[in-house]
Amino acid sequence: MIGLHEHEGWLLTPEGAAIRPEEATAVVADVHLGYEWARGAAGDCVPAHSLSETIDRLARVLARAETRRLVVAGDLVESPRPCARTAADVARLEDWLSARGVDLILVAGNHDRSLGSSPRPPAIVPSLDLAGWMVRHGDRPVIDERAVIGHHHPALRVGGLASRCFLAGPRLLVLPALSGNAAGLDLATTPAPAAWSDAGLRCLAATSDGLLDFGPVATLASRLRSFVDSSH
Amino acid sequence: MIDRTDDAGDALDGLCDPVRGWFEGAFPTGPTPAQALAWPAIGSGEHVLLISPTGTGKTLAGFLAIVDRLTREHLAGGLEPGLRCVYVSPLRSLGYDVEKNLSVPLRGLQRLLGLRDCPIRVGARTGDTSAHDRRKLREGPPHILITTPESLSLLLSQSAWAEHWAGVDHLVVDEVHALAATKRGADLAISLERLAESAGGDPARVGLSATCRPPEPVARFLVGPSRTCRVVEAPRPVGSRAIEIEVESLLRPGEGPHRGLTYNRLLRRVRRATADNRTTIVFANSRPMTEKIAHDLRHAPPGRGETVAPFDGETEIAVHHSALDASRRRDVEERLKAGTLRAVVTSTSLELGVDIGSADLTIQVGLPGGVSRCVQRVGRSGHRVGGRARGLILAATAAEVIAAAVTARAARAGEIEPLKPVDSPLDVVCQQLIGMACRGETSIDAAHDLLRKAAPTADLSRADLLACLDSLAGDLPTPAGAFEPEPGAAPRWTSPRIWKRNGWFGARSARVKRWLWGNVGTIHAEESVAVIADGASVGTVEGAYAERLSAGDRFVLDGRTLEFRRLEGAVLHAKLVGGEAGALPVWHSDRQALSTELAAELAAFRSEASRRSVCDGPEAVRAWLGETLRLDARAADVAAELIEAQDRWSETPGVDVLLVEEFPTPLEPGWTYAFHAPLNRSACEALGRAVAARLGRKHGRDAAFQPADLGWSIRVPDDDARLDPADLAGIASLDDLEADVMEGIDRGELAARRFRRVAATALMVLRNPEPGKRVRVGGMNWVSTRLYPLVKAACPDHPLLRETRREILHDVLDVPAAARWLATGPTVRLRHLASPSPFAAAWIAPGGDEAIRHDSPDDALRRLHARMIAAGGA
Repeated sequence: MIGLHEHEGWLLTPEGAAIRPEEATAVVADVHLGYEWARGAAGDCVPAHSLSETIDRLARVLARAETRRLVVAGDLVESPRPCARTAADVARLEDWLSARGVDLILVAGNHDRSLGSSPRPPAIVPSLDLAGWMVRHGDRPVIDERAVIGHHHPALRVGGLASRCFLAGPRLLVLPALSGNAAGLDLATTPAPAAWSDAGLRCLAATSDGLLDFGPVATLASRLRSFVDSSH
Repeated sequence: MIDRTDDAGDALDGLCDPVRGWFEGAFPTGPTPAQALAWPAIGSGEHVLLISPTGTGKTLAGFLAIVDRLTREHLAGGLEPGLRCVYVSPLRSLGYDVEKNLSVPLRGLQRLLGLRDCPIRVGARTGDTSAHDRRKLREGPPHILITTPESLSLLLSQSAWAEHWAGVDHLVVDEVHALAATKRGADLAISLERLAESAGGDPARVGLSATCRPPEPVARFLVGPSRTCRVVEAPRPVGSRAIEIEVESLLRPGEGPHRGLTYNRLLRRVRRATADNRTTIVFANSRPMTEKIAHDLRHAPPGRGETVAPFDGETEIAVHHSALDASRRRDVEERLKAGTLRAVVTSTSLELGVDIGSADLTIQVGLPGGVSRCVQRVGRSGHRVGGRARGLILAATAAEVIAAAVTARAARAGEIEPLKPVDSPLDVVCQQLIGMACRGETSIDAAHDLLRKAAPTADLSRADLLACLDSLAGDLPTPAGAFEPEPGAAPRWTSPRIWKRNGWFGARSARVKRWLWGNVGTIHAEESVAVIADGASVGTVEGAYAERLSAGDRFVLDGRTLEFRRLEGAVLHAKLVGGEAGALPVWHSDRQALSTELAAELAAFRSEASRRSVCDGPEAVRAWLGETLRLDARAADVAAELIEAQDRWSETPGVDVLLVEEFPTPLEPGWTYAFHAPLNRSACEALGRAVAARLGRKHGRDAAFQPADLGWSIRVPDDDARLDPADLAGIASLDDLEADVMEGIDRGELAARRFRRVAATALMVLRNPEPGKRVRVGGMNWVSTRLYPLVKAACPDHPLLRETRREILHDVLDVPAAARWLATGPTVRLRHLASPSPFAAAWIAPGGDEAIRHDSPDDALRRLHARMIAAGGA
């Protein structure tokens, strides 16, 4: 299908989802619902937007492959504090998904602490095994044979461009943030965590309709620097 | 509306006996002209704008008539406790100065009257006031309250102060010329109306101002459109002399600009001036340059042929800029007044404010930008009796020599630029509406009437006011198609500030008051980022600057060269490269933009010099430069060489020519276009954005745009985007100019950057959020990159979007000036050059450019990807 990138049995989509077709399951990470309510609690007056943007993106993901289960690899919500409006947004998201025959499973992230005590919590698990890959949030260093994580919000920022990225290796898959509000780990300037050094990760940057392979993450920063230098 | 009178009568006769007695004892020579003119006018209760040069006893001119009135009341046995006069100064330090200056006559009066305590009490309330003193002031306000615009706005929003304003009969605004054309001034003007409304009668206003021409806009700012203001212009005291300004070139004839060389000469010159004068004030425009010069004056060993500096670097040289701690600044001011400093290096912070008694020379490193700023700076010296204000401008490049000479000529002639008032800034209106709501329930009609009494919001329409109220109440529409499973179930804007019902509005909760008190005012210290190099903290840089850096970029901080590595939240990681030596701040970024008038004069002057050079020869043009601009032989030679080089390389454009120079971009693929026009930066930026939009529509590619004084540059990535000579005429068309300027703004970064400040002033986003509730994800750029497009999509007519556009089109850019020049039908001429011309290099320095995007982000990313693959990179 156009725009999809096949990687170790996963279909990676430009929206930032990793789809396991044989399981009819899509994995996304770092949705940060209720971002505006967290800003509001700090005193900002901004328009509500994260639920509608999330649904917009998920609708495009669901249109790409048969999906019966949506796994969020942590940070479904922004605020680690209890927030009624955020909980209501989560409930609306679940309703929207179930109307399309999709179950929601949350792999707990560091922002999701209070979600369990909300009136209608989603199904929350500490981790989830999916076709031999362990789905985790990735905020704690845990060694798995093969893992899918979020938490880092990888992005490529060059000369005013900013693009969300997958980091894809044979044993590790790092998902981009689904939320548009996440700043994240800038691959062009920030060294990746040491634990990833031998993971053989490649950077797959998202355009609105596909993914571009920018090569090994380990050398990306230096290649970008020398490339930018040589064109100066 | 304005009645100008100069006759004074015998001013001293108007004062009551003890006040006159004290004055005659303290000043046997009698009142200065400013005092003699001001006292009767203020005593009669009129609104008065007093315009007088610094060092003419302005404090007493403004206050003695008020002190006199309070003393009379005391003598008649009727001086009740309570607020009578509010003094507002844009500078905290000035307030302390006034407090101290007032204590002299008040103590004198106390002695004359034989009292144990002075009957007239004075108190200061600023951001520095301790919680204890705040409570004391609130419970027992003084007769004379000294405050700042921000603190005044805050006090007006507190119900505990509500009863205190009733007795106020005088409002004194100091340095009113510095406030009149700013948003901070607009904020103050509304605060003054709020105060006036809370006072029993209409308090008399006294504005103290440096020279301003014409004075009418400043007077109107002070009193608003419905009151009459008497303008009192005081002549210089007898025996004082006109200001003296000289320009020196740090460059010698035949030399190209060389940063290290000119910097060494600069330092040497400043050292010599410091040795030759009692106290020298050095204006260095930017903070890094200020720090660098001060550091080197203190510590660098004298150069070859220099004797050891006859001053002690540690104790006699000081730094003064706004990022310094308040107590350190006050310490420097104290030492300045005491005359124990030999030199103070300052960015711009000493332009206004405290009287620097002993200063006898001011040095300006680089251009002051405008004539009024130049005069203001030079006027900081020569306050001793019979003294003379003396200024020296040190020019580092040939272009600076010419511009400085033109500025100095206009300054000697007193050609101060007119002020351009701010018209209905909706962000300020929003903040003031929140202030009114915090004070109590307010009627919309009353708020509108009040706002229309203040000059900056005199023309505020009902529709704009209602739009501001709607946005504060969270009643504006949200994104079309926003997800709404249960309509009306949840508020669609977070944390509305006010409720609005039946023609009234008020604060939603006590939290809104806390938000206002923590974020009051219109001054935005740029968010700063801590810089860590090799594990050690080096200092801070502006957040906006840090965001523009990419890996490998080099910058200078604290005299050291650093290489940018990465930005993590509010921490910038860098690596120390290069040692201490050779690390100099970038000079061109320190430049202040020229005024409209100066830019036009400078362009005309360049063209005239070129004509004379061709017609009369090199000797004659040097003589002419020396004579008309009062340049010494070296400076005249340096200036003439630049013009001659430009004429050889390209041409010196006349004021009726838009010269376009095309050359291959140095060290990069693509082409650069340098445009030369006789306009200042604001007008160049307007016209340049329109041209960038017009070119971009043709080739559909991103361009890099950089505005400057007297021109701008546009860089295009490759041959496909090269300018077709056939399009030349169209780029300077008057048709659709404003729409094309808008397109050039929308496709660039300016609007998003400006929106950030507008949103902060309107308290849409809080610079200081509730403690412990700062949102961590998103980064500090969120307001520009996310909120701005969100609000644009949600509500294209949002009052803060309109304010952002208004600010850009009226305050930042000068579209009318660009249009006026285009209407004269300038000839467009294209020249193909092998490298940048001397003028392009001199005026349109590289760096700091802004992307004007025509490419889609997807295409740009695909192109980057393709280029990296081609380079073997991916």
